[in-house]
Amino acid sequence: MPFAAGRGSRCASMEGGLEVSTVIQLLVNSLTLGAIYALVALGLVLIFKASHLINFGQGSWVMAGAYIALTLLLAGLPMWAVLILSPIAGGVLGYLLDILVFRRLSKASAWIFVVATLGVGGLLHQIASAIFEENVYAFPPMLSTEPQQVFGIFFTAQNLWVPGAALAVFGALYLFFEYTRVGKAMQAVAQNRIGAQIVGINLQAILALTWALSAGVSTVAAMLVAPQVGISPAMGLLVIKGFVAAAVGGFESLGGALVGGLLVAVVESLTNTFVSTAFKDVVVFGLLLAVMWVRPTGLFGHAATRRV
Amino acid sequence: MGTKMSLMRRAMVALGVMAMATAAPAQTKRPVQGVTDKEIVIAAFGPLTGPASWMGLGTRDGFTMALEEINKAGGIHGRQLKLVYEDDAFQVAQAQTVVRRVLSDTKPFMVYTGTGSTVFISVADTLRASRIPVYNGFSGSAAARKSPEVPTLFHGQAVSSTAFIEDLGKLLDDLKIKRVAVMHDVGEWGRSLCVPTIELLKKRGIPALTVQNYKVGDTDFSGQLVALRNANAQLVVNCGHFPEASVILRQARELGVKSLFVGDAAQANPSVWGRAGKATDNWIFNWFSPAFLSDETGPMVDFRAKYRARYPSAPAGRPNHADTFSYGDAYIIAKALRDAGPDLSVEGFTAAMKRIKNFQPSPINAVASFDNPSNEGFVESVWVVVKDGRTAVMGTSQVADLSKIASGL
Repeated sequence: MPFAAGRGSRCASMEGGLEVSTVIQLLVNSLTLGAIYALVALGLVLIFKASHLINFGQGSWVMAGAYIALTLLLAGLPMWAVLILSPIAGGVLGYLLDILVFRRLSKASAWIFVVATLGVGGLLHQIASAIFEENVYAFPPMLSTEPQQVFGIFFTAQNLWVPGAALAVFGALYLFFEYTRVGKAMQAVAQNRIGAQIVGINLQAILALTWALSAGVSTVAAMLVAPQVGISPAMGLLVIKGFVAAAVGGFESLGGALVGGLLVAVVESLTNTFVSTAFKDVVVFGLLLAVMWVRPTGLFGHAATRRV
Repeated sequence: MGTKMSLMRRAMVALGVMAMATAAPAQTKRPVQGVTDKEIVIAAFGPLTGPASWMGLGTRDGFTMALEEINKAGGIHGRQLKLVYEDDAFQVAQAQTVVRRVLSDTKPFMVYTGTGSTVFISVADTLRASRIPVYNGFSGSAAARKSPEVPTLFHGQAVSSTAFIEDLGKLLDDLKIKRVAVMHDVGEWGRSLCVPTIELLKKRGIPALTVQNYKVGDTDFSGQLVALRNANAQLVVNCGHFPEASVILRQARELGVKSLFVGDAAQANPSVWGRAGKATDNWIFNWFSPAFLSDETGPMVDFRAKYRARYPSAPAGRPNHADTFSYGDAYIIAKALRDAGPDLSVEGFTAAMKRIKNFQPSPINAVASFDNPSNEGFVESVWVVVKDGRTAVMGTSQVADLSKIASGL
């Protein structure tokens, strides 16, 4: 058996070749991670659809959501209350940040906006670091982590809860956009800002609501990933994979965020297992570049039409 | 006139002698870097940010707490100890910058390092060359240590990887283990344990069934764990740190890995079973203090209460072993500073460090002896087993239980 304990030289390659049960097991496990990536991507997509700009501080919004949930939990609230109140509190934070920062930049250039998102992200990160330092806080799982086995595939109720909750969020957002007046107004703003204003849609209110939704979704993602990795300022790094997921799926597509998240997790897991731990991120970013090369708008994105 | 001149000459000579006599002590009492009449400056660094921040936060807080106690009790020969702690973010480049800045700007009497092996070995030679006293508080890699070590560098409570391997051999014998897999982080600490573990297994004629690795900060180990499951090992030796260990142990059980897991002292933290719960039952880890972090009786109870009073917002999992190690390290350094006498010098301090023998810095710390060529204070350790969130030093009954489990795998 070849082995070299070099720095990343030999990793998690699977001895004994590829087995169907192993692949299925990895796919099942990827559902959990993929769902989290998808929710982070969803937070990015919501902002992009409304403003055609990217929130480069989105990772800190996820982290902030986690600390909101942690604070409520430490305050003694029962878990069901934490699950309900945290996304609402996260949404209020997003709403306030829009009023205090982003609304004031509505006429600024895209670069200024990008810097502002980085600034807000950095501010949230530093506030969390100042209050909680970089300690890792445990966050309890919502459901049992006792392993169950079906046809040789292991899973836990918690493993199923994460993608289930993520699907519920995606479903609820789909219904919201398709069947509510506010949701349709948000879609109108995403498609044609000027036109939406002409028909009487309050642009500022819709944008504020979009920030609130994005922050709320980020909080859900945080609560789903927290039992797995704990809560610390470093969890904001999740945004890197979320960003890849959003770009792969297409920044304008909710479904694209879901597919992108799952795809990134599957590629990451299979590479980690069958190629190398050291190469898993290499392949993930390779996937991003490949999609950008073949289809720059992402798998589910639409090419922008320009009137000439 | 001649007599007058003679008297003048004598007076001048006497004045000269007096001047020289008064000047002489001033010459011997030359200033020592980082030492004034009122304080002794100790510079320190470790990761205060990033995934390895538990090391830096722990070493900073444990050390600080001990220093406050020492200062409150009057300091060392009337001098207060002052700690200047810098963040290396567990990044080699940042650590090198920090060390350069510490040596050129802070100008401390000595340096305490609260960082892990990956970073420490990158700055160790710079610190050795600086000729100021350095106390390595948290790097256990064999690569970070020399024998004979330079006279100014001392290695504290992070037991060396060499000691871990010796203990592992005994454990394999005790549990009659024949099928072993290895898992390690790719940082210096993980590698420094993994390589000799694999060599040990080869020497015993039971080569590792599989070797899996991961990065510090990873959160998904499914691929590695499925490979371990397929390898069907009785025992998995996991070399790394506790944040990853808690996720690994939980995911291992979720994925149906039934093997016993063994961890090194860098994984010894109650937050592992706090986060992984029942998945840590029968988990074995290396430890070397008379008291363990989660003890419900004895000196650790008092220490935790004291710690909580000092750091009321500390999260679950703190104090961790970085806190307790550095707490003891501060008392060891204080003893050497005291023994070096009021006229503190580098030579006096290092000689006092070398004289430390069978000294227990505090009731929660192990006994230290630095009278060896490698300047290593701590070399002995024990195996501890977790059951239902409680720890027990491995004795006959635990060996019997675990052997039975291993034989059934």
